[in-house]
Order: sequence, then structure tokens, then C-alpha cells
Amino acid sequence: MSQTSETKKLLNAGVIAAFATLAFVGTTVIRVPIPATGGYFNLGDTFVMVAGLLYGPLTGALVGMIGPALSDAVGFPQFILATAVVKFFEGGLVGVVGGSGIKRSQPQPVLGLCLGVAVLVGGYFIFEALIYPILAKWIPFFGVTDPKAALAEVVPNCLQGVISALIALGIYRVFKKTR
Amino acid sequence: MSWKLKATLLLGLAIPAFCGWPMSCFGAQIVPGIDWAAVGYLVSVHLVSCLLTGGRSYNRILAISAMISLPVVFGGGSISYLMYLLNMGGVSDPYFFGAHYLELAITMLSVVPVALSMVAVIPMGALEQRLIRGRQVVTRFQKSALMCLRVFNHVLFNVIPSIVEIMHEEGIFHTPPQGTSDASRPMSLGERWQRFHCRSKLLLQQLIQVGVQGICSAIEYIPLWSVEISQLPEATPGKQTSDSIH
Repeated sequence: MSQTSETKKLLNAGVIAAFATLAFVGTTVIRVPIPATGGYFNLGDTFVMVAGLLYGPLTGALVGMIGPALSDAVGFPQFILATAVVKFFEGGLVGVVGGSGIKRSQPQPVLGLCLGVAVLVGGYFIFEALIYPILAKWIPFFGVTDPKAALAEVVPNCLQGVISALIALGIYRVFKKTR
Repeated sequence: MSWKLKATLLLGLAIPAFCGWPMSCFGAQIVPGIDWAAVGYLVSVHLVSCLLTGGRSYNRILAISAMISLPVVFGGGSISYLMYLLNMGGVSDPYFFGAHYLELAITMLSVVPVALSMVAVIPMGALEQRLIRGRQVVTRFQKSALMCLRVFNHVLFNVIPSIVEIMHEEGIFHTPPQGTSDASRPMSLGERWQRFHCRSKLLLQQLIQVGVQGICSAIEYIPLWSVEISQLPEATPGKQTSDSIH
């Protein structure tokens, strides 16, 4: 492998590690529990979305899959599966639609962030209302939610997504101006 | 005791936290929601963590565990009480979620120390030094792992503490004085909304500022490290690779 391409690969690995660690810290430290469901409200999505906007879909997806899921391992292990999958798609979609790391005519950061929030809310609802109750029949470990609890979590997840998206948009605009 | 053995012991200790076995076999309850197995597990975790990591590291682990767990538990308890006061969510009495938060406190004070102990027993600095000494070849995977390790350490132990210090010194998140107001006159709805709007905007700007500082500090040295690590001698097919880190 040539020196330049190897350096570039290491650079990408470093950026993913940096954002994943920031997402991990953002998810772990700022936690407000949602009583009805056992889940919690956090601001780790901000760094997942910023990674997607600044570096494209692959970086956003990997940051989403690694950082917040690692945080769930510290205290809420039942949610690791849902978090890894939902935030993988959230970061990826934000990067595809709003990211400037891929060649497209005009990135749409606001649209990308809106779609990211929709994936966050919809994804967690599907996991908690449908997938977890089905898994719980064979693996009691996943018996932590039901459709009623999933519905109760929609509003906090919306709030979490919107606030994280607003902060992510602000951060993106600061970096866009300096490029 | 080698770090690998310690990490394996801690991994074994983490199994009940992830799959509930064998704790589900011991079901005698102390209070609703809390059983002897959970309390026994909590005590075991702290005992093993103290023995494997040493007193100094254990103190730090205990402090961080408390720092992460207590706001979650008390914040959640406050929200539950608020739900009771506002008659929301079918909460019939103020202790509706009491057992849940007690269980959550015990879970977090068990799981968080295990995770932190795993990080504490792995000699990150020694691993890094062995890879960059330059007398042995490294694989591409080891190079990427070295980069991730460096960045993780840098963010966790340099970036976050410095940002917290900057936030404290510059008074970020301190609410500025609102100016003179007639305390005897209650605020109108329009004034309340304006105050809320200003505070929200200020909080958003402060969070953006912290986010930008965090990202800049986190990625600052990555280009330099990527050049440095890419220059390490790489293993090629047919050439002996380095021994695994002991």
C-alpha cells in the first residue's frame, strides 16, 4: 500500500475513533432517564450527526454504531442492539443526504438531519414495540419494553433528536465557514 | 497477575450484567424489585474491582461510577415525582417508580465499575510503546488499533478534562444576570416566553461552542499521528510478524 493511501486510511480510522469517543462521552455523561421505559435521553446523537455531515455516510454510520452502543454497555446493555442498528442508519442517512464528504450537487444538511431524527424516533419505536417483545420470547434479557412503553418514548426521542440536530447544525455551520 | 488474566476475570464477572445468569436463579427479594442476588453481585463487583485494580484506581472508579449513576437515578426519580404531581402517565403514587430506580442504581453501580475496571487493567501506555518502538514489524490491523487507542486515550484523558476546566474558568453555562426587574410585579406570559427564548438560545450557543472545541481538540493531532504510524515497518507476506503483546 502506498504511503499516502495508508496515511489516509489511518486518518479516517482516527477521525472515526475521535467522533465515536465523543459520542460515547456525550451519551454516557448527559443522561436523563425516561421513567416509563427504562431508556434515557442524551445528547450523543449530536456527534453522530456531525460526523455524517462533515465526513460522509460511512464515517457517520460507523460512529453511530460504535460510540452510543459502547455507552449502552455501561449501564443499559439491553439497548446495545437497538442503539447500534438505529444509530448506524441514522449516521449513514445524515451523511448520504446532508454530508459534504461525498460528491453530490448540493448537500442538504437540514433535510439530512430531519431524516436522521425520523430514523432515530422510528427505529427505536420499531425495536421496542416489535422486535424486542419478539426476542423476549426466547431471550428474557430483551424483555424490557412493550408497545405501550415504546409509544411513551416517542416524545422524549423526538426531543432528543431535535435538540441534537440543532446543535449538530450549529457545529456544521461553524466548520463550513472555516473550510 | 498479567493484564490478560485480569481482563478475562472481569469479562467473566460481566456475564451476569449482560445475560442475567446466574442471578435469575436466586430470586429471594429484600424489597420489591431488589433481590439478594443483585446485592451480592454489587458487592462482588466492587470487591474484585478493588483487588484487581488497586486502591488508587478503585477510588477513581468509584468516584466516576457515582458521578455517572447518581444523576441518572435522582434525575429519573425527580421526573417520576413530577409525573405524579402532574397526574401524567398513570402514576398513582409518588413511589410508583421507586423500586425501578432502586434497581437502576444497583445495576449502574455494578455495571459501570466492571467497565471502568476493564479499561483500568489494560496497560494502554505499555501497548502503545511496544508497537512504536520500531524494532518489530506491525500489521495494518495493529496500526489502525494503535491509532484508535491513541485517539481514545487523547480524547478521554486530555480533551474532556481540559474542556471541563475551560467551561469552569470561562463560566460557560452560567446564566447571566437578567438586569433590573420589579420583583413585586409578576412576569407576563410574553416576558416569560422572551426570557425562556433568550436562555434557550444562549444554552444552544454554549453547547455548540463546547461541541466545536471538543471536536477541534479531538482531531487536532490525527494528521500527525497518521503520518507517524504509517512510517512504522509493516509486516509483509512471508516475513515474520511481531509477537502478540504479552
